[in-house]
Amino acid sequence: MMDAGRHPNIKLLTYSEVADVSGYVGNFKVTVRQKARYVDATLCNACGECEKVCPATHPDEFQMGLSTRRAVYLPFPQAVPSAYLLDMETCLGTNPIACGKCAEVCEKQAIDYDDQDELTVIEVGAIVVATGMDVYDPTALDEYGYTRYENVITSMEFERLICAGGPTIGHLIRPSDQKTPMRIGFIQCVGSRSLRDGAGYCSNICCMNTVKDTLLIRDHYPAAECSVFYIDIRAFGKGFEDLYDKSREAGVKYIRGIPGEISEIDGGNLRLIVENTTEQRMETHEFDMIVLSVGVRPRSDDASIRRLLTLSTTAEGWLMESHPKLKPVDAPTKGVYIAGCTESPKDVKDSVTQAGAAAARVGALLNAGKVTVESITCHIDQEICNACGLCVDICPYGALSADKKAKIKASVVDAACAGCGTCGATCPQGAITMRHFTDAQIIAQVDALLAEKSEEKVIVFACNWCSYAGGDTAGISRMQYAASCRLIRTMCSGRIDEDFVLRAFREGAPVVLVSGCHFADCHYIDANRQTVKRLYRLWKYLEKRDIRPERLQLEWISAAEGPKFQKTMNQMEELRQTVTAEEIAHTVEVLAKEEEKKRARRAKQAQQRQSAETEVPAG
Amino acid sequence: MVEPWNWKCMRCGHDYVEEYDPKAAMTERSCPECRSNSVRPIESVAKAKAKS
Ligand code: SF4
Ligand SMILES: [Zn+2]
Repeated sequence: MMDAGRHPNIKLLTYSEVADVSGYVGNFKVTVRQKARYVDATLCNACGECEKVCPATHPDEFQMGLSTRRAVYLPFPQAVPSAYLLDMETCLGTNPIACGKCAEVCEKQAIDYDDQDELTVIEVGAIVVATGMDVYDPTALDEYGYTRYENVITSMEFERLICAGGPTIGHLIRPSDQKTPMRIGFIQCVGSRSLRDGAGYCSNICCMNTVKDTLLIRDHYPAAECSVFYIDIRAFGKGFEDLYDKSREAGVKYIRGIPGEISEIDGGNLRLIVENTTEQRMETHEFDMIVLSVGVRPRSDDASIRRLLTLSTTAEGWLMESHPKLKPVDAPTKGVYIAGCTESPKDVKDSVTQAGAAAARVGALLNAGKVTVESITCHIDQEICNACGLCVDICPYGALSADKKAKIKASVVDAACAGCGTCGATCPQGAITMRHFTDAQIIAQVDALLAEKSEEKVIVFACNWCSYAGGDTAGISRMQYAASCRLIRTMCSGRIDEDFVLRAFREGAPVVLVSGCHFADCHYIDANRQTVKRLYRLWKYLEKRDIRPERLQLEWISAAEGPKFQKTMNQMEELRQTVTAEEIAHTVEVLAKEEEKKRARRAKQAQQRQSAETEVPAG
Repeated sequence: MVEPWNWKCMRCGHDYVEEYDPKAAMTERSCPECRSNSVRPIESVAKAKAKS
């Protein structure tokens, strides 16, 4: 951090948050709110005189609340800039000044009670999101008695206790009586690998953290006994297994089983009941202190960053990468990269590796000096657009802008458009053309596929990245599937216009299947949510017109799901065989009439538009 | 508002009840019977009861 602070090309904005982001790859404008710190960081030399006289105290966040700090404080010893800040919530008050002691003793006159938040706009070409993670709070796990029993602490609290820079200068003591605990128990997977605790995933770092902690204890206090209760120890990294072996050789007991209950006995000692699954028996253990090895959680306060940068998350809340194998540090939004635990739980080494990769990606982008964008983007016909703004609301990338009130028609930033085509399928005026996936091109495919023996065909709309690729997987695995299924590829299922589906039915298709990526895999952030909404509308539309809605089907198929692709196609063929010639004839007739009505409506609207234009007095 | 809705599977015809909020962010759904994603919200249970 010191190096970063001193680097001529790095500007550190600490005690700040991102208030707004606009623009696109290569041209982002980021508005940063620099919070008032009430101490001029350029004057403060961190002498600490203010801290000595400040009477107001607050639990020290850095020390996990195990000690207190003053209202004026240095967040942590290595803070950059090395300057104090004043926490106004804790200060006795400056309006009117209730105490003013810090200002009195500051020789540099760095204290400024009138300081205000400042907004700064910076222009950047790329953004790396490395907002970190939160730590699980085990208070809700009643059986472990965290916060009820003083000597049940979390691994984060233990970390501060054993750290030379911690509140006890590295002397391990237990909270209830400040004595050194000689029997210490560790419970693994607290808040991890358990859906009951809200996280089915492995937090990745806790096992090795505990192994390290046990070695530290045995090193500092050779007579101390350590026991670790675990499901399985995940020592997957380089040298990790050796460390685990060392811990066992040092006499640390590893007991397979997750304790069911902790209770307090005399003198603050703790009794723990566990089913030892190796020995297959219930056991009771007594400890002086128990450490809950808590898991990690996605940041709870980075929702605004996710919204501003149109980032998507996994079901658990970790940021989604653009592609798990090929673009692991790219966010789906061009020019945005992700690193560290905001993407998934990981240790320091992996975080540094990922940060290096993100920096290299940024370097490659910025050094190129120009951005090559895909030619699959949308084009808006300004003559037809009526500034309704629907496309602006649904674009997952914020690539479109329009103003309904000011009648400013929609426009697109090509560099920000990812080409999903959702806007094209949404525009009620038909003002948006998707380059390379135009309405005319897709409709021509529908018509061609149904030109002959339409009653024997199933029209399958498949997205480029997942369902179409699922078809490829089925193909290269030589999986046989019904030949009646005819595929039409779009980049995203969000491109599939309701009109395409109705056209297929109008041309005599017995069954139409819309397929796309699973929600978590959507290559266009969340564009496929629009697909579902359209399907809901279409099912209703068909039902209202006495057309069996079951003839329209939906399926999410990933690129790896060849067997699911095969199964779905065969199911479509089975469904096709249930559709009668009468049903098809009825559908064709009803939808043809609807189309006629729609055409008449459009012609009338065009006429009205034209006459409104001619009525406007010239000049 | 999240409330129980009547759902219908467009693949196997299975009718079931599941929580749904038309205004909330969508989640991926599948039929509890056949696992197909062709599932459709029909109407809220409360609304259906009021009708009958
Ligand atoms: S194609 Fe997709 S990304 Fe491009 S403007 Fe339309 S909705 Fe946005
Ligand atoms: Zn079903």
